[in-house]
Amino acid sequence: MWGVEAFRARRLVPHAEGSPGSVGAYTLTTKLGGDFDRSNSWQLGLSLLKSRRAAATEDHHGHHDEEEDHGEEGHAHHGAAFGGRHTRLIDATWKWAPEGNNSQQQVRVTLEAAQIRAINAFAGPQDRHRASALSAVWRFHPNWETGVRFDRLRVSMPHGDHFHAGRLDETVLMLVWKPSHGQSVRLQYTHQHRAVGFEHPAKRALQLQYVVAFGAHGAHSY
Amino acid sequence: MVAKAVAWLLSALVAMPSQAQTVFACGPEWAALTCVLLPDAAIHVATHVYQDPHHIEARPALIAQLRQADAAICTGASLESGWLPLLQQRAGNRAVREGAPGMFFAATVVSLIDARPGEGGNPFAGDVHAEGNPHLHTDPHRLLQVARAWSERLGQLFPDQREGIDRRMAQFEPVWRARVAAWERRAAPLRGAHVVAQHASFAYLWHWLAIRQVADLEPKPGQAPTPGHLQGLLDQLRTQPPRLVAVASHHHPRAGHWLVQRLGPGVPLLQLPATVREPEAADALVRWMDEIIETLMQQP
Repeated sequence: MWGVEAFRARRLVPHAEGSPGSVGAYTLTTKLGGDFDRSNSWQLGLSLLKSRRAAATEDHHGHHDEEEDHGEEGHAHHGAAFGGRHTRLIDATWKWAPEGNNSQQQVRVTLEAAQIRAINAFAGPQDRHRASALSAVWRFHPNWETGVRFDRLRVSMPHGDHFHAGRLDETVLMLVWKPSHGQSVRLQYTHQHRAVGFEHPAKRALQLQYVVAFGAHGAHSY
Repeated sequence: MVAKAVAWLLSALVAMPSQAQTVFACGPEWAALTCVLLPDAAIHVATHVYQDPHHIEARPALIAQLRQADAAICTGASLESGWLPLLQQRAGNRAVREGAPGMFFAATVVSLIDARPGEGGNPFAGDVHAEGNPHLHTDPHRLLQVARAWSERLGQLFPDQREGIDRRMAQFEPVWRARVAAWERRAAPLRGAHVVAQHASFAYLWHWLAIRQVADLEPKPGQAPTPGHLQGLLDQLRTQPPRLVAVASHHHPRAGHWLVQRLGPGVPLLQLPATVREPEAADALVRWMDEIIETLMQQP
């Protein structure tokens, strides 16, 4: 499957500079996939986002949009916190269910990676953002799922005409109980570590969520 | 030069053998029926007997299959509502989009039991189908009605195949009717029997054979059996045990096992195929119903 999109992207980057031409950004995406056998299936996605809008040249710190009172101080970015002109994404998924009967048992493994180049006008080839994530979820009973996710973030934080390296790792454990097809209760434990350049990493966080879906829900998309 | 190339291309196209039809079937029972009516067609089956037809994901392989299809047959009545619309959207195939003549839903040509108008879509009520129970293929009379309507539709879609489709339908109908009469005679001793089953997968089968499903292993439609619910069933059924407990091939037998062990040695647990095992095999539909009837009759 192929997809191409072009749009003006006037709000893609806060306070974007550059010519107000017709096409500000375009994306190219493709998805490939298939079944290995009855129990195993896969999908590979590749996408490319090129933005012709010049990215923000301000510091990472202290840049605020119109809404100053947005809650957490210093985190009021309305665009992506780490952006650039060339974004590349790759994601790979493998799913296993005995005899393909995913209502009883299923394992889903997903690997995602992203790279952003041309962060701003001063960025050289070594100045880039990289992020990757590996997640595995096991549905061990029709009503229960457990999963783990590892995230890695390596960024170049703009500081005038040079960059400071930033890094953050995150490990997430979760347990989900689905009392019915449309409801789920989710317990998540998040641990952020090896933080460099981030002021307040969430060292340990515990979240309890209750999600209920009326009508369409995401359980059937791949 | 260009004219020569065009002429060559045209001759190549004309010389190509006429392509067989490609049909996408949501369930193996509809694939088996299509095999009966249009045996030369390339048939893609989205699910098989060991899969729960409610819980299918829009896998890349299924998207590719639907994209190639000239026609598609599904059950409807919201059985595939979680995944078929996604497949249709991603496949982008005009021939099988919603409302196109190539998109056929079996539930639209038969009457459904247990319709609950206005009740669907409530996430707290379980998987309730407002249109009625969609597992209609386990009633051989309704299956014949679907066969007639599907053969009619296939004839309209593929006019050059019409003669063969009509001929095969005319052959299938008396054979099927004779088998139905034989199954009804064979299962006559079960008339009025009380059974326990998981989900409403076989509601049409019970209805056809005048068997009564007195309890469901699921606390609510589509929800996995819970210990509390099973304990309640045990208390309810102890005084008047059912003739048998039936689950489908795609269900885990653990809940049924638990119940029959406590109900005593007289109550068997039967695992019945909710659909045909090998849709491409000749007589797949007959063999499937033979298996169900024989399994039901083998217990004391």
